[in-house]
Amino acid sequence: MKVLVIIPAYNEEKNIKTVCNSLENIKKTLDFKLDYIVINDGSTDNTLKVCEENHFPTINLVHNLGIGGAVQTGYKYALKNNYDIAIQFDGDGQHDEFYIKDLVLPIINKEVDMTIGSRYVSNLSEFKSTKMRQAGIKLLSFILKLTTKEKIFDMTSGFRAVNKDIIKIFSNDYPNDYPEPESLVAVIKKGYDVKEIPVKMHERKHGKSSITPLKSIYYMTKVSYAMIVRSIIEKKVK
Amino acid sequence: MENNLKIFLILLIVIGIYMIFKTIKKKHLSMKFGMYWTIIFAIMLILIIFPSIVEWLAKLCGFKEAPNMLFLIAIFSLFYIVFNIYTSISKLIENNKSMVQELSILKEELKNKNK
Repeated sequence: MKVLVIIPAYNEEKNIKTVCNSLENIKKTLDFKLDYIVINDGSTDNTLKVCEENHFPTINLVHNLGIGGAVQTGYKYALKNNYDIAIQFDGDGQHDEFYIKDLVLPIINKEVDMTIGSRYVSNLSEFKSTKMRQAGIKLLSFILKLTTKEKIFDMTSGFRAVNKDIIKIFSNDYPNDYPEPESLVAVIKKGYDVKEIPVKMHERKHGKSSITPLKSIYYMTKVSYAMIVRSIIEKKVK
Repeated sequence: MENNLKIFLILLIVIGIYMIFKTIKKKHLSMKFGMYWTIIFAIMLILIIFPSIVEWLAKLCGFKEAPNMLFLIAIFSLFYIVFNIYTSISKLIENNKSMVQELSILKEELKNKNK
């Protein structure tokens, strides 16, 4: 069982070292093989330099592709190197490495095809994001329920694990911007099983989130539209 | 507006939206641009069903004839879209150039390494 952690990083010079070191530490405690790879998405700060100095495995994108393109690079790498499971893990220190095994186990046991680290299915996570954003996530959750009849609470969580089938799907087709809710609809509509796993998330330590309040209306329109179109065009394969 | 004309125009827009979804499915159109076109079609659909909106808006903006306003909006929207296409193409050219350069430099480095 080979597991790859994909860490998309855009201007994370202050966070990336802590994230990679924490993965190095957790590696030794796990009973499956865990590798990780940083996808440096054309950062304009010293992210690449920090990665090279510390010998973190890194793919350096020559252009900024945005989060979707960066993460997809990781899935392509996972497919090429024959990984059984791929995990998305943010480069900003929001995610907690102790929950990696919780995300991976249901997939190893073949219970589900994809797991999502969720802030909202337990009280583990004190950090739950702002009120406005929570309302937005609730709306997305409602759209998912309408289009797929599935209930997922943490729609925008970027802490997710997928099996080999879905690695293949994502390598071939992954949304460019704001990919999480849309790719979720695609996976469920294709007939794969998704399960939410309670995790703890932290407030990011340095830098600010990529979604500003001004962009949030555009974000909601775009994501809702993408989810609805996806639910129309995707066909069941499993 | 004649009812027959109305039905014909609505049908055209429905076909248009269907074509957008089909093109997105073939991955020949990104979700983002698909959304822009769908919004344009949706606005057109509303105006066809409720033409009085156009007249009301034209009066409000001081146009003598409602169609004049529509033409003006259409021309401006097309200008905007074409301008956007031009900026996207310019960005693509820039990216493509540096990609060719990066790849060629990489090839050269590999060649030297193998010697």
